[in-house]
Amino acid sequence: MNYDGHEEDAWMARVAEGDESALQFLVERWERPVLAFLTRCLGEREEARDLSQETFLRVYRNAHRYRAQGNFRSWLFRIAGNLCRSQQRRQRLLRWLPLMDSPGAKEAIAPSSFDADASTRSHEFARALDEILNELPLRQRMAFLLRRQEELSYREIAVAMDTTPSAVESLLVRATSFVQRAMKNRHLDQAE
Amino acid sequence: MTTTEHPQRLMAYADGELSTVDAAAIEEHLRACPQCRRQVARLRWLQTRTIEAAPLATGSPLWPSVRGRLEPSKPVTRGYGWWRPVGYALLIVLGLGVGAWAGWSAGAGDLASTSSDLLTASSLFSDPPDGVSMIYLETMESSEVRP
Repeated sequence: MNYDGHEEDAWMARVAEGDESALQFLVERWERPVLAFLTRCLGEREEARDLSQETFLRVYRNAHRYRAQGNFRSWLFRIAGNLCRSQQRRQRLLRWLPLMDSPGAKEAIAPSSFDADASTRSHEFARALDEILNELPLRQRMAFLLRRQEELSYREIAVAMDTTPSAVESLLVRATSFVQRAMKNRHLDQAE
Repeated sequence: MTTTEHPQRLMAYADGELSTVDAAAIEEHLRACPQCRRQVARLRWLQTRTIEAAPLATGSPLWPSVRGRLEPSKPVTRGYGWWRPVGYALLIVLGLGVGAWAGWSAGAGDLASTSSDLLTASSLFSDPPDGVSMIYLETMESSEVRP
């Protein structure tokens, strides 16, 4: 996606005035990245869908707080990331409740691009990535996804995660090294 | 420089985060170091594969569900907060006024009922003595003057 934050600023100004068609435009433009980010963050498609809806509702409710500086993408993922963190805390708490059903095996999350020849390998990579990301601490997972999947710059990730670009760099090094090692162990590191 | 000594620099280079000068220095190093070249290639491969493996947006579009939940969460418009404290102050003043008026009315009502009691008492006499009429008239006058 060719991203121009200033274009989003103009749409957000309209959303702040209560223009629902402007919000619809932003939802339709950003639902795929938000949903993809939350799905991989949570490892659960239905929850990710609910939280994506909540993310856009918060965009609408807090539109008057948005500062038009071309940072829409960081702001959007910051909302989504905060929701993801809260959801993880809730899940951790629920695990302590003895009467809760234990979660069953998760359905593999289908990748977005299926090449007919490479579909099995793509699916294998996607499944491995799910499992590997699930082992990472949430902050590393979020930094990894924002950079490697959503292609945000270090500065944008820093804004989205309320930290500094150098802290993002260090999170990324740890997360990326971990993923690379784990992929190599599964014989999925094929770049030579 | 090796991949283990400076993983951050190589990653920042592969991610296009370095300045032109720093990127040129890394490129010079890469020409002589196959190990670092391999690491940069691996990083770029991982980036490409991760984008390709991004989860599909399955199911119906989000907008109808978001639209359905908009009503209870209208956006808060900026700049209309000042009237709230003024409104609350006016309400308090109005409340105090109404309270004072009600108190005053209740006081006047008590006096009126006293007057009507006296009137009833005076009507017991078919031809009341002058003294009773005088007391009655004095009470009426005082109730008119008193707040």
